[in-house]
Amino acid sequence: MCAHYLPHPQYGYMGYCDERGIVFGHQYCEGFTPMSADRLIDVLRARGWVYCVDCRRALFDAEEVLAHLRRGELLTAEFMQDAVAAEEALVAD
Amino acid sequence: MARRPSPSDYRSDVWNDWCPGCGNFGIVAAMYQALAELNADPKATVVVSGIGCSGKIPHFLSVSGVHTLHGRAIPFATGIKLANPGLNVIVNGGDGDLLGIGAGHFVALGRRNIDITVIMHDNQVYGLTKGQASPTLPRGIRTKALPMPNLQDPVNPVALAIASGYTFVARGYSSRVKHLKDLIKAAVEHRGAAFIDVLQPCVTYNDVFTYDYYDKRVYALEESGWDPDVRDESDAARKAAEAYAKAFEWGDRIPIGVFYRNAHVPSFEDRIAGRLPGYLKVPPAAEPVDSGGAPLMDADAFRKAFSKYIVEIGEG
Amino acid sequence: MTLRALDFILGGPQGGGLETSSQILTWAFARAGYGVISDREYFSNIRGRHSYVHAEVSATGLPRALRYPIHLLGAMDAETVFTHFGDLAPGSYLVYDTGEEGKVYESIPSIEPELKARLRAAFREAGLDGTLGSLVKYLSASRRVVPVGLHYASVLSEAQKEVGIAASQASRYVSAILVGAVAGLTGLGDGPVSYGLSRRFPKKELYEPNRYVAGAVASYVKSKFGAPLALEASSIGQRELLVASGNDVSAMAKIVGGLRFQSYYPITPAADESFTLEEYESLHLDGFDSEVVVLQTEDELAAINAAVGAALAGARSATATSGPGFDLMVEGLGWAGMNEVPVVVTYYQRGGPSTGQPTRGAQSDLLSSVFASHGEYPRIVIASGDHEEVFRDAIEALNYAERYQMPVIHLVDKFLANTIASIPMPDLSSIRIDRGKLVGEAAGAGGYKRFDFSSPISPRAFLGQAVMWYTGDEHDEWGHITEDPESRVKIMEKRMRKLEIADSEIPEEARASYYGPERADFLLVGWGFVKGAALAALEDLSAEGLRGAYLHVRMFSPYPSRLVSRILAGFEPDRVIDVEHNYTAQAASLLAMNTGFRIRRSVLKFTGRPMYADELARAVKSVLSGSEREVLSYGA
Repeated sequence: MCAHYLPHPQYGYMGYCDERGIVFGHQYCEGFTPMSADRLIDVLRARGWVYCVDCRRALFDAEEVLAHLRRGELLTAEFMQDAVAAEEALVAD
Repeated sequence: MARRPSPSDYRSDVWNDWCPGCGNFGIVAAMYQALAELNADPKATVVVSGIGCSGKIPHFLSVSGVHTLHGRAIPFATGIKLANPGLNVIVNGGDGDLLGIGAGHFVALGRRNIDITVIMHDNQVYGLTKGQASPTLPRGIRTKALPMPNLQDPVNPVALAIASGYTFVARGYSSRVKHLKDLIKAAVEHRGAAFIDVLQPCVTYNDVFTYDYYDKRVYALEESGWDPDVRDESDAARKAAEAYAKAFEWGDRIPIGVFYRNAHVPSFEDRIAGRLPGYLKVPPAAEPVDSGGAPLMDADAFRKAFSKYIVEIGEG
Repeated sequence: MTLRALDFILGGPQGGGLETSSQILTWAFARAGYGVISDREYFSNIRGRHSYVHAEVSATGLPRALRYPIHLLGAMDAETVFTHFGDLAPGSYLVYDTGEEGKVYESIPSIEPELKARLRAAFREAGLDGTLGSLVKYLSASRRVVPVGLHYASVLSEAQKEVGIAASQASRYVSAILVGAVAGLTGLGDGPVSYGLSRRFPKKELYEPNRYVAGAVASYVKSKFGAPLALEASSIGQRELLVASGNDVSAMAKIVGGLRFQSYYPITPAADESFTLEEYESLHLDGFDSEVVVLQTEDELAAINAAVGAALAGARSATATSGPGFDLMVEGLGWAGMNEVPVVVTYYQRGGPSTGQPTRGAQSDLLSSVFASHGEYPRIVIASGDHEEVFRDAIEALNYAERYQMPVIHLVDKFLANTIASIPMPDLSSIRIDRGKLVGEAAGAGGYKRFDFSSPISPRAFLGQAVMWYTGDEHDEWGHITEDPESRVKIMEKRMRKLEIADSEIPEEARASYYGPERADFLLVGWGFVKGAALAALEDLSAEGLRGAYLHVRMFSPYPSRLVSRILAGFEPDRVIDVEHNYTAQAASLLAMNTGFRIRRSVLKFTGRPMYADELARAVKSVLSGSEREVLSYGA
């Protein structure tokens, strides 16, 4: 999992590279910077949660984050911007 | 509980369907942490919510939850708390809930100073109905779902809370979870009506007040030397006025933290106890109403209690 | 000759001592062993507009209805005479202030233009000059009304000389003039009058001068007229009576019933109940303790939802309101239905729609009580017909709410709310308190499903006894949101089934009552305050050889369909007459919906004034001779 990869909120297989400024599929490139466990834990401590895109769940504690990371799941606390949902979503309450 | 609880002890099994990245995750995370640090008894803790995205929060917590109607979380919480003042009652509501459709109740809670904590999810939009402007969205702002810029001025939640009589008034930011957790703990521990305005980005509908926007601007009041506490009752008006002015600081720098705290105002429960001597010992929820199916009041007691209505037939 | 029953009206400017006269006389007549009922009619106004008390005193029973024409009119001012002179029976007595004889009705601003127009026509026809004096002379000459003229100012000057009058209490003495006049004409003894005065004025400094005024007026009137309206000796056979308004009876019943929380927002004619509850919020007598939190909320939205919150925490909980307030409560009531919350709404009906007639009575909120809702949920709707029923029903409402875990609406009308009646002391030994299925702390072990599907009525724990969830969204057994279609069917059936259970458990005889001979020639069907007028009208009609019966409906949900159908089967369809206080015959619609029987004939009244026994009897005769719909309008 690349630290520069900001996944799409719904379709984790695409995302935004905050290094190159492009949308791409989640794949290795020459600039690949592995997401470190430490960085995820820091984000967790600051924000209170990290999101597992594969499980579609917010994670709230460190052990949980590490377990999902070990399973190779896509974790993030920041998503690529998505203007579509606001237009697609229906009135719902 | 024998061991100290951990934040995950306060999570329910219900899947959380907020948008990925939602600002509410920071609020629910702070709730888990605060409840754990307060060692909250799940049975004696009641989270009351309105509707919308914030309204779902009780389902994600393993304490008792009452998910009510749009705008009415405070009246439900009021009834719950006054019937059983031993319960720890925490309201979570949206900005539309508390300051739009429920604004009258918001003001009334301040006047009463009931020992209830109100946490407002302030994202300036009505998320679940597609991003209309909420009462906290500034005039002239056009968030992405709005066809036209907002025509209405916002209400300042912190200032309104101070004017209404809340005795603990704070602002938090959902992405500063430790700071928010500490605010929630302090609010719950405060005896009286406590209010926390929580800035909380709506990632789907609010493209103006984003994580990025707040990350750059928020600063902690306590780190700037702000003293929120009314130390002497005679100082309450001056302190409130200062806090009121501070509430309007917004722009390049946005203060978060406790604006105002006054521990000298009697809570509503204490006021009731002044009239009902047994109120705090045996609250209404626990006071017996019958004796084996018979009313507690017998004919003699009825006669004594309601003598004003009884006429004995006689000569003189 | 003595009377078996006496109907009288006392009138005066609102806030001018009328309540005091009425209270003292009610207590005095009750003290003397008579049954009393007195209806208070007043404008939506604090002081100055015309208000009046219409009372019936009976030597033979505890009256539940009023009649015209009246035997006695006691007027504090000229407006009272101009408003009510047409109500006086031949040979009746008119007590008035001779100091007002020169008053002309046209110059009295508080008389409404419509009444002025009617007075103009009447005065023209009778050839009167518009003064009170000319009217009194006419009444005496042409209608055999006996004028009892007193110069009120002189009476008060006399009292000032003899006993002194406290300036801020001056209007109390006007009250005493009427008390004295009524006492003198009816021969009510000194004992009962002193008793009434001493209850009203426990302090000697007010009691003594009032007693002086009342005594002086009574002996003057008696010496001049000789107690022409004396009642025969009472044959009621009670040792003591409870004398109270419907509002107060409801408050007392709620305390007996173990109410622990009541929220309310001020509204007519409901607010008096909450005031009374607040007066008795803390009772600590030998061996009896009762504390009630009475919360005045910021609006009715808060009132219902705070009451629901208190019920979730385990308190017996209620709110009291009227039409405009109930309209605001509807959403909260739906939440209570959805979440199976025992909460009682005591609903005092007044004239609507909108602000309508705030101080006038109606029965026009029946369909709203039964149906007001988006979506479907079970509720119990009870309607009381007299003060004794109010007492029972207020307690049963709390029981049903907890037993069936649903909102209960207790309908009372303004007539009952404001009418003071004498009733027997309630028999508390026959009252049961039923809290329904409670599990308490035991619920906590292994997780508590608040909406356990295993039976329609799930065992209830209070907030604080277990972890539980509630939501206004459709939910599963745990109280968590679910939109699953099969689960929706299950929980809808669970909730709605409770009403079937209530229908099977609550005896139909408690939900509808039949009054009358086994075989009657016609049937009146009514509810609420109609009961008194209907029973009294039937007595009058039977004296004329018309044998009727009355079917009194007391519960509209669940409806006593089988019993009502059985009773209806005994009558020719054209001999069934619906009687109620609304325009659209709402109870007849509900009856048709529940029994398939369409009542074709009706007697309706929607002026805001109660139905009087005499006008109802006349209307019934018209219907029996072919009229399909009679609309009543008697009363000022």
